[in-house]
Amino acid sequence: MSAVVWAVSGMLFLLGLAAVVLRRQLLAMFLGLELMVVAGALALGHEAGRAGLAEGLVAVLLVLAVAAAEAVVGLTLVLRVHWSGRPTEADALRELRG
Amino acid sequence: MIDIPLAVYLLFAAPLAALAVGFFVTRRYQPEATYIPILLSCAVVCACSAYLAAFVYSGRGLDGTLFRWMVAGDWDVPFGVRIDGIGVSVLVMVSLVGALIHLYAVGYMKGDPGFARFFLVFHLFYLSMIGLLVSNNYVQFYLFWELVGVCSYFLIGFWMHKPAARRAALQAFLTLRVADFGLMLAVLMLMGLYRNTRFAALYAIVPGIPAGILAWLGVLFVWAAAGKSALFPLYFWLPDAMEGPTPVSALMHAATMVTAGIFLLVRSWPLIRAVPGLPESIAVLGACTALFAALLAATQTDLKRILAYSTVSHLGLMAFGLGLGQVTAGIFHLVTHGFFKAVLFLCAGILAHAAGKSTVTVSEVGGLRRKMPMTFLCFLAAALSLAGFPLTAGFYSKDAILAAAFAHGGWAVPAGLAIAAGSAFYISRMLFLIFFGSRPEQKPLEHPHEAPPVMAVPVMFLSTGAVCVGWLGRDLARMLGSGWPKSVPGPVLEGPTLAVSSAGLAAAALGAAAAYWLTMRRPSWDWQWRRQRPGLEALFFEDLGWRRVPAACVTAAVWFADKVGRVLDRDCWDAAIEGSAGVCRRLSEAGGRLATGRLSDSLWWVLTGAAALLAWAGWR
Amino acid sequence: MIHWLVPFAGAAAVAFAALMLAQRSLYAAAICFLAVVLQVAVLLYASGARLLALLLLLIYAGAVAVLIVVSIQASGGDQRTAAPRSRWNRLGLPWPLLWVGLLLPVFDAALLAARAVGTPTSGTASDLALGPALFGPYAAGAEAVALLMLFAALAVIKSPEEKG
Repeated sequence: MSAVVWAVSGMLFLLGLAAVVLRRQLLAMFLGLELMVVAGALALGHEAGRAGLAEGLVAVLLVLAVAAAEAVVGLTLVLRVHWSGRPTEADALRELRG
Repeated sequence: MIDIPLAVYLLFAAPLAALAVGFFVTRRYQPEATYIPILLSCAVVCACSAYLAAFVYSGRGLDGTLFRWMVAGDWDVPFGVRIDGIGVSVLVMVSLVGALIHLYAVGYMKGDPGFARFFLVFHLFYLSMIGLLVSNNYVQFYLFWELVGVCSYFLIGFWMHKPAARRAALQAFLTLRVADFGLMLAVLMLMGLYRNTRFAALYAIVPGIPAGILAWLGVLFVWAAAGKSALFPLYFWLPDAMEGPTPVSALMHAATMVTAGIFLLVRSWPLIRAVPGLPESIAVLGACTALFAALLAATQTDLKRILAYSTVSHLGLMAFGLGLGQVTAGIFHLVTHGFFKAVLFLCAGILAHAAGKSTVTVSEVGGLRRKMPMTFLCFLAAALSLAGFPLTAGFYSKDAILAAAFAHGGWAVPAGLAIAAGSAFYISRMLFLIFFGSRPEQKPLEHPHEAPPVMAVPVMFLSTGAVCVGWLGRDLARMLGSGWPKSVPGPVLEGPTLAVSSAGLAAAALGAAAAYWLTMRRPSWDWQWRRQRPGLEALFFEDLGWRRVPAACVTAAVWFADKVGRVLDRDCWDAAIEGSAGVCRRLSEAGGRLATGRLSDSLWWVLTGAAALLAWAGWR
Repeated sequence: MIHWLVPFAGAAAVAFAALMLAQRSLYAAAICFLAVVLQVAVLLYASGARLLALLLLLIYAGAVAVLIVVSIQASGGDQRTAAPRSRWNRLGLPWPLLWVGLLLPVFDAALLAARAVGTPTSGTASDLALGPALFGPYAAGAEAVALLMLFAALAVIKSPEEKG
């Protein structure tokens, strides 16, 4: 079972990475980021659950919390980009002013 | 510890001292007196060489180091002397003939603005030749060889204002350079392989040298000797070198410098002997050169050029004798040739001096027997010696070579006899044309006068030598016996047998008779065939077409240099260097295109870097 | 029976992640993301970290996914997917298939209820120890994260001159 979970976690991570690198739209890239965090949380949580360690669970929880905060900030940035009139695409963002 | 006699030191010290005094003192203050220290030094050198000859004749020999010249790690090049029979016999001839020609030159060059310069360079040449003859290792030999070549350049081009002289000097130097390259390669090979170029050491290890290397060394030595001693492919500089003053022609291009090549072959004989087929090739080369040059000598009109071709022919004869295995005969002929050829050149110089020019042609002389009797007698003596008249020196040496040819058998016999006939023919032609009869085409000299004593006396001495030296043949053979280690069979000088002598005499008589008939019975024949067949004359003047070959080689060399200089250097190399700026610019532009500023590209780079790091970490 | 759950959930997660990658429509991508999160929660539950699975669902499916959908809406929506609803263009999938993804957890739950899950009972013990751990040794970390979330919330405040 562990082997399957490890494999799944790895593939999810790689797919998230692919989404970040290959997609043009900012929000799609953001989804990839979140996918990567979820993959990491899966691997860590699985091990914590198997071993019964509370510390592992704490770690995963904190990671999730931080990921949520990051989601807030990231989405705000995307909205700001949209409000400033530029297209929300990675290709168009060459300067970071505004 | 070998005890080196004072004579050896004096051999070098006297000329050096004379040169120093001449250059720093007399040249500045009293140029006309430059000859005095130099003549003194010549006398000292002659005395020393006589002493050393006696030294060797009494059975002693010497091979020692004067000082260590070049040292690097296990390389050691000494500056030493080798006093053995070979070196000393030639040394005596060179020192004596050289000293007498120095004396002659005092009269010949009188009034020339370059008088001091002439004597200094001439004496430097004398010193170099002596150093060459007593060297005991190849590197030192090469030093003096090159020094002799340099002096030759200066002396041939002595009259610098004449473009022909400059061109002849340059031609001589460059041709010799091509030949010297062979010697340089051989010396480098020896240094690199054996760390030691002393003759004595090399003679001892000859049996151990691999056959391929021996063959290379042999061929390179022959190539170098062919250049310096004017054998077939590289002889063409010698006739043109007659642009130099007559003493130069007499000393360098008759008696001494051109014999340096033959001397190299003799010094290297234990090596050359060990290469199968090489001595025979040398004999063939020598015979071809001798016959070819004899033919050309018979067709020239300028007196000095006739003698130049005659020198080439006799050098070929020496090589012929050497190649047939008779080293003694070769050296013997070298010595006798030095005497009689010097006399011939000096007489030509006297004739030119009487005409007020630097050289004369056969059209400007004629019937001078009565008007210049002393010159006539000396010339006659030397001519008889060259032709091989009995009891003259040339007779003995030529007989020795003919004996070797007969002993060899086969093709050597007709070749030897043809050479004898040819030599007799051209020298008799010269004799008859200059001194006998008056012919309509010849415009006689206006003021035929004998030479002043300072010029006449040396010529007389030398002509005496030209006749008498041959009687010392047995003694020479005895001296030569000490030249090599015992492993090489000692040289033997066979006495003239009746068969060989009569065959030689018959050939010579045939040649002389032909010359007599063509110059005395048909006085104008020499000019007639030139008028009737100018194309033939042009062909002979071009050495039967051989002169075009070096010209073509030079053209090819210049073409090659142009390709290298223009195409390779300018178009490829310079373009590459100057194009490197463009390359840099294009590289930087391509690199600049990498920085797109796009987020996705940056992400790709992050990904690539992280993957590389992970891979590297995983590899560890 | 149980050993089919984990591979099935894993395969479903990976499949929906691949679909998310390939979707042209942002909304469809968000739906696929949601499906992945649901499957991951199932996996976590099957590993014994039940509380964690629940928290994952809460945070991700509840908060983050909603935020994403709202952001897609607020940033102009999907301009490029005006027409294709059911066409198999390069990246599009028919919506019914996406709904399948949201229903899959039901299937997982059925598998779970079929007993013999074999999850270690020690899972509950660790869940119970989570609280004390958070407020014990990891109190500082928890406080820091809470502050971080506060500051993140401040990011949303707009300054007056911005439009929208």
